[in-house]
Amino acid sequence: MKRSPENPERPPEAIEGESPILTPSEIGALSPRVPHRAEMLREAPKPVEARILDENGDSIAYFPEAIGEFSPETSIMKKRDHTKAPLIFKGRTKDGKVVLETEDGEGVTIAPRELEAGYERSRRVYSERTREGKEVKLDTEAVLRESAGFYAAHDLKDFLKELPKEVKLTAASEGQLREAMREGFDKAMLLPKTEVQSANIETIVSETATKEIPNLQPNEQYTTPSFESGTKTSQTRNRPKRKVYLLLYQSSPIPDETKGKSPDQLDPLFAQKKWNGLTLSEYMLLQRKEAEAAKDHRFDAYSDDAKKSQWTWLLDSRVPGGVVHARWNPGYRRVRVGWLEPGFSNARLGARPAVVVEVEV
Amino acid sequence: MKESPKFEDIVGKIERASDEAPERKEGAVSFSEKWASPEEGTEELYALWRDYQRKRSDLAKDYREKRAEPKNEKESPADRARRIRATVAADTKLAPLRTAISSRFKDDQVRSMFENTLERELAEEEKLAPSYDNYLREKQLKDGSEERRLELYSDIFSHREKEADELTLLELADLATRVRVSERSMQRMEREDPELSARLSFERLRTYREQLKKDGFIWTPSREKLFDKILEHLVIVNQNRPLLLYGETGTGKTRLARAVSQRLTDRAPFEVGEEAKTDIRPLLGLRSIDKDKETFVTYGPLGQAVTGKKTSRDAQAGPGGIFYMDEMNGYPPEGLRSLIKQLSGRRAGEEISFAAWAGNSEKLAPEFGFIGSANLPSEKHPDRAELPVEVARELGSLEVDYPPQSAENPELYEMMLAALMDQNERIRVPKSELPPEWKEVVDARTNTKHYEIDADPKAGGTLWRFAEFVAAVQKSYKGEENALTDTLRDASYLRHAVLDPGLVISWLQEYRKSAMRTHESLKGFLATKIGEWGSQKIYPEEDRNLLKKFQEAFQL
Repeated sequence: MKRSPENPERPPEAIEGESPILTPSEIGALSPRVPHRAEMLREAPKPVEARILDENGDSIAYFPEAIGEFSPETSIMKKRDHTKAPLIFKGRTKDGKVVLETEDGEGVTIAPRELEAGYERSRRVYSERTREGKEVKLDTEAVLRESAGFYAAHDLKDFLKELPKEVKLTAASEGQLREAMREGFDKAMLLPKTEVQSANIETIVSETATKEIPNLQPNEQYTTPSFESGTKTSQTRNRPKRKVYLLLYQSSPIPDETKGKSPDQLDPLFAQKKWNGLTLSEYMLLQRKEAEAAKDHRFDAYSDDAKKSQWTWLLDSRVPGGVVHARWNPGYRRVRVGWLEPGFSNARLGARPAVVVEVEV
Repeated sequence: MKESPKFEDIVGKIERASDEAPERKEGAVSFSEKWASPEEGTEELYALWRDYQRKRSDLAKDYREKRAEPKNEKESPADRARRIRATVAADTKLAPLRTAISSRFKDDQVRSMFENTLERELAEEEKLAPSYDNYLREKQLKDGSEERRLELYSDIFSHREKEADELTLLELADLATRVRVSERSMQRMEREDPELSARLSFERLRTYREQLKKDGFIWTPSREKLFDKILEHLVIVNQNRPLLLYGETGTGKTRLARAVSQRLTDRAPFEVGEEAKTDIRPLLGLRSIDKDKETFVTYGPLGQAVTGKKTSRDAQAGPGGIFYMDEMNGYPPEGLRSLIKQLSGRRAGEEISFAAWAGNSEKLAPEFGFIGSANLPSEKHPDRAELPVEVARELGSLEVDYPPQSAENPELYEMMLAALMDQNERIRVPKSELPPEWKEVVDARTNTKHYEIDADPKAGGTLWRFAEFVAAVQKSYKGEENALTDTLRDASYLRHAVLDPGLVISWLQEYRKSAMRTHESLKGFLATKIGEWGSQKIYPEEDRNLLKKFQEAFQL
């Protein structure tokens, strides 16, 4: 800002080229509500040429550019034929051919029309049976799409930016996912790295615990949530550093075996079962997602009846000397988040388990 | 688009005015002696010009409507308009203004700057005309539906003795859909056209300025939303169930209740004066004895709202009105409990009686409504009194929060801009002192450049930083995370000090009226105000120190 050097308190002179008297539209444009038009840059960045070897060892030169909905490094597969291994879309050659990478790392080319008509983004649908014989299916592409839709609807722009184009899992992560599904973890959400979650905690709170849910009964609508001091800045534990992850959880109520136990007692139980607890951000997002879907707060509603109560420890959110807990308070119609000592237990207070699966980016 | 005068016409008129004005005498005052700068002279000329336009239009209206004119069948409408224009121009009431305008217009620098400003304004209007016309058409549709909606609501409100009929409810639902469709279409137009958006933003500020001047209250989107909810509560859903507005100190509950009453009944609410909150009975009425030893009841503010009468002797009852009870939780629980129980669920026209009326009974007035307010206890303020459970159960409740302030929803900042706008719809503060700072963000993938607001508390003009500062202070007072939480953790929360939007708006109005004319910078003025307010001994030392840290963080 320009100020007179002799007297910093004097109003600054008008900036050169700027008329000192504003027109009505210039006054209106002082409000940040007035959008700034995005501009096309005059000079497009020059495409960088890349190379890949085909099955004969010959080099294919290509430009890693998007074609239609496919951007470079997207995993794709033939439509209606999910038996074959997916291919990676790489870009286009100088003469317009589409370059793909096979499972063996070799380059192949196809015509653009063939790509458009015959290929789609790869979908991975995992299917497992629980010990009770119930089938659990998880479509990671659908999870990605639903999570992105949820973040877009709740103004979590930073979350959207962080999501990958597809959910890629290593063999170890796939194994972990399948094992969790066998344990009854039938729902999932894709979350950005925890640093982004912490930075957006205020938006998360206002978007997930204050805003009205359409078609929900008036006595189920949120009033102002209550947070005990320090809970919003609680420390997250047991999450991958700077990585996106899939959070698997159960649609069923909190397991009875976790109720009436203190965090000190729950930690070894969760370690033995290879479970994680929830964090505060995860709880806030899940309770909203589930309330929107179920049209009530059964996911986390407190009840005086210990069997029904869904009051939960957030075992992976800690404050100095305590563990965060949360619940939907039906009386006050609000989300209540507090913390208690790790030795505290209550028959109505359990712990919702989750499984964290790292995603390759 | 409203009819815009041609630039040549305006200048022509001023030039003629200037010719008619007496010649400037030798040694007349030149601009450098009269004004601090040519901008100031131009602003003055602009103000006079606006005044001239207003007066001329009033006179023309007066000629058209009130003054008897000789009938002339042969005169065409165009000739008649021309004749009226000439008559108005010759009216001596305009002479002093013409003289004042012409004397300023003779200064070359002022004249050139004035012409330039008008030219830019007219060019702006011309460019905007087609999209603005489309927008206005849609707005007209929406206003029509809204007007009808309010008419129906007011009708239901004042005839609450009977149920609203199904056709009316159906029409209300239909109107609500129409309003929503128009709103969506208007939002789309605004989003896609920055020029249109800027013009509409100006008009919004102008409306805010008018509201602030007229009622001291601005109907921002968040307050409109609250009004809709109050309307729904009082009129449709919970007829005559008292409504409690609750929220932190300084969120504007009282101002809102007064503005709602004004809008709904065209009158101020009946309010409790400065009486001590020890007894509810005087609010209802007191028994009086006249010189003939006859007894009657003199109704208190609540009694008047309920009955529409001043005393029990009044033969005719008025429509009653909204009764507003501030700090409801400060009243004795027993009295409050019995009062709310008696009032809750009553319909207009029903007989009602209270112990304070000494056996007298009255019909419940058609426009009676009960709005209370309270700062309820919270984790941060557990010392505040609770409302008795039986009372709380009978009340509808609505939370009132501070006006939002963020890049996406800058209500507080817009209220501040409106407070700085003068009667000529100008904001006479250098542009660089006002808005947030935008930074360029280049997206190499799409090869585009877009703009985002710089979130640094030290970025942007003084007014933007001030709005952000006030919002941070309010968050801190509410116990929410704020600009200092990352560094000060638990010490970032204020215990007693909070800036009320009404107070900061009054500071800016004061700046517009006086300080700006003395050339004090906005930053200097606000720094002094914040300093004086934040160092009051009524606030604990921790609060005073924390406020200084907020001031530093936002460079104010």
